[in-house]
Amino acid sequence: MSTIDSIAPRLQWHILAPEEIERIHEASLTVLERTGVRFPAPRALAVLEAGGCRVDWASGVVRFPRAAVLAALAWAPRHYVLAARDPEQDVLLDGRHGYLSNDASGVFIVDHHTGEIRSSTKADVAASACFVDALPELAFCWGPAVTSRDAPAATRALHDAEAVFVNTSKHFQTVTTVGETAARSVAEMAVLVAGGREELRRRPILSFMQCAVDPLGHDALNLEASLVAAEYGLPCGFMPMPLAAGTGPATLAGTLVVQNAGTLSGLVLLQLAFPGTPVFLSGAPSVIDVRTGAYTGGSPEDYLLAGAATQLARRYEIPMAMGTMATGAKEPGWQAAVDDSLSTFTSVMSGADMMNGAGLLNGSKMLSYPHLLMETEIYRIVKRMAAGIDVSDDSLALDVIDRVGCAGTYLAESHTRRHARDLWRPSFWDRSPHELWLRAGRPGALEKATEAADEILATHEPRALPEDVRRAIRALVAAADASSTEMPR
Amino acid sequence: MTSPRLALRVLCDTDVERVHAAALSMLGEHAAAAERAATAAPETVLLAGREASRDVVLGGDSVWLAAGGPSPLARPVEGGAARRGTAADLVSALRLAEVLPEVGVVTCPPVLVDDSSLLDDLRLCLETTTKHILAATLQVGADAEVAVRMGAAVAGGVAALRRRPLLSLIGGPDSAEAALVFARAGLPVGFYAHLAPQAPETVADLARALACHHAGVLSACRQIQAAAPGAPFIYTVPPAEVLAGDVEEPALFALAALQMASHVGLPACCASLATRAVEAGWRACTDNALVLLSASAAGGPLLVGAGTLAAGAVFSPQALVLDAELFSWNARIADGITIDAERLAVAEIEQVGIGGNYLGRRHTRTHARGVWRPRILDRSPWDAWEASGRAGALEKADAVSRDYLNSFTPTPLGRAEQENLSRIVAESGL
Repeated sequence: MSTIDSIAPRLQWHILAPEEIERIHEASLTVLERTGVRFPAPRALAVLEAGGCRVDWASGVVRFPRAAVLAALAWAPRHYVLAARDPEQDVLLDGRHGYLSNDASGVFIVDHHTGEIRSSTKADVAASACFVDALPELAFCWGPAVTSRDAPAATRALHDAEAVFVNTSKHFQTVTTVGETAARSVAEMAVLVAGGREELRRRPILSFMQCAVDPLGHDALNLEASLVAAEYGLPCGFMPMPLAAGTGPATLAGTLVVQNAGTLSGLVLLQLAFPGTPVFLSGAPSVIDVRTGAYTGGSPEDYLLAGAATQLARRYEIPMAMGTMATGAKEPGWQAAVDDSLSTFTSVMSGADMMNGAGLLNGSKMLSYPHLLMETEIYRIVKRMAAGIDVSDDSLALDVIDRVGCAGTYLAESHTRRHARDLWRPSFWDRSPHELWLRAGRPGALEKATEAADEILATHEPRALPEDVRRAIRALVAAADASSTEMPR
Repeated sequence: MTSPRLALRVLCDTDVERVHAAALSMLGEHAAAAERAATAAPETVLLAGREASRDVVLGGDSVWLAAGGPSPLARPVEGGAARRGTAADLVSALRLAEVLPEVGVVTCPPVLVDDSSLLDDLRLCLETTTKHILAATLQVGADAEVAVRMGAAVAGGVAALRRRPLLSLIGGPDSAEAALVFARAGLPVGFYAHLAPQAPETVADLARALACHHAGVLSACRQIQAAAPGAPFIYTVPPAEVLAGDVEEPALFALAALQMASHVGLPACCASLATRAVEAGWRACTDNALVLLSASAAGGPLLVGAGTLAAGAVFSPQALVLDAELFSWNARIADGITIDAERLAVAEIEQVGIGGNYLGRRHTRTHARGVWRPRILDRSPWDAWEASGRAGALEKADAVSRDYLNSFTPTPLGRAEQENLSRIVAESGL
């Protein structure tokens, strides 16, 4: 059984100065109060109006008095646990640890032997959840990684959730569950797995992430699902993804304001509906490719936005889920390495609590298992960097230096043996001499990761769900399928 | 060049003091003189180009990129496996370094050529590039004397060379003799003395390696300032593995060493683009991306080794183009986010409103020019990428290097300077 491999960074990187963070915060409050955010869901509008917000029922636009925003921020819990079916894999969101997840909602699978691209199926959801289960670097299952495109659209989220609950004992943060009915069904699955509704509230093995509609809007079905999540006491957050120069101002500061206002507005709704419910902030801000108008899928501005948005979350002391990795590269090579290295570095050093996530290519569309493993290697490198350098009498080792002198070697020193154990070791990087590498047929990281992926897919067995729970979940999904023609999403 | 607005520190102030104190304790009776030498050395160093527009100033906020190793092997521009360096490889490397805007300094020589003397290489560098030349192979005093004469021939005399140093020298402990010659001529130098065993195969603790290296740099600075008071001295940070063996994360060592350089007020040169990857692919990129980002965030150094692979053994034009793209990428990150009323754009957000689009706005037209644009990175839709034959970054880098070399127009040295250079090399008998 894996244990969670979190990062508690000693190194910190501040993209914004404290006074700059305050300016973004103040500008966000101004936008929330003056421009507002659209909530196209009657239940949400009722909650917000009752909470003192100014609601225009015709347009669905809500304007937030700053006092309401500040009160909601005060009610939101600072620390909580994303519980796992296996308690050893609980994810403690305490503002000091960062956790990586897989990327989510892909729609294709890359066959890593043939290169063939095909639509993802429920079997792929199961396999990917099992893969996530095997990797200590992935703290929880986000998404899932790919969706069950062979399942009926109306109940796809339930099929996704079933495949995840059965195949991992890690926490599940659903991204594909929208609409009140689907949300209740998935929440009820979690009740079955947790052993009761109160037990689920006490140890939430499920959380919800909802995408926002940029700029400054939400989707009706997402809002409904989020309110169900909060009703069950399940952590929930909203992820705006504004694109500078498209759905956000061309300036990074302006896009940060849109991003921050968007995610804060969701937090206010959930706190007004259920004060004290666990919530998180989130975002995946980016820039538009000004030449084509398309999503860039990786740019230096993305990392600046990610780091600055995370600094804002740190200012509020609310957990932050930040889009990380999620490269626009189409294959696991040079471009993916730039994206993954720099975005992980930025998210970790800025103090993101949840980093979503690893495994998908081509702008979060295609799952590649070797690519996912290579990204976990980058995560480990950044983890080592984030630990910094220990400077102590023991690590400075003046007595050892003096004893070894000017022409000796440290190899046989007990100090070396003691500390060598702490050194980072690669799984996929090649460190062999050039000649040896040539003789070995020039193996690259991709070949090594492919081999490792095959091994995991062939051998990993997740902790089994009790048979009666499995059957109950299956029945729940089957019933939903049967009535799916009448089932409103 | 990038001027980082961000700051990343791997050591706290107390740790920096402890490492410094440990280094001084290793220097024993020379500790005080070493500290005085570091104080006496200039805080900024001019690395002049043949043209003033190519000047590089170390010790400010700007980060600079230096191309090349020197490397005994070279990957041909036309592709294929690395081979023993040829004259054609050297010329290609120099021309590519000259034309890439991200490259501020050229290492001499970026490619080692069999049967070519160091001074022949230097002559070729002086003839080919208008950028500053960092001599990385000079060790012998006599060679250095000739190199100084060559630099003076191009600069317009010894005094002119001192005013605008076209050459500098960076090296390890074996470079001390040549460094003293350069320093006396007013040329910037950087090296470090051996105060601890050099054992590349040895796994060592980073703090220990850091303290040993810091002591070695201070000792070298003391030697230089004793021989040439006030001479420009550069805090040289070699690849971590040279000092500490197969260390954990080279970027971490580079970051810490740059902090130590800043602590003693010396401009820094960091040979940290020294990936051990043998191909310009995923691993090389991961290595160099993290080194570049952390060093850029630390602020101020000259980063040496762009375009090298296999721990400096191979120079690759393809890798140089990719490293330049990484540098450009990091330059944008290091530039940070500007926060002011215009950029917060609250009024603009209100005007565009909910669900609107910023694309056609004047504010967008004004500020979109500042958005970073890639040279190599692929942003095409999947179908277009497939139709292009699935061209990856490596193929694009090959194409870019060929295009640049084909369109390269050198800025030639004057005829008199060329003849002077040839005469000096011939007379040297070296």
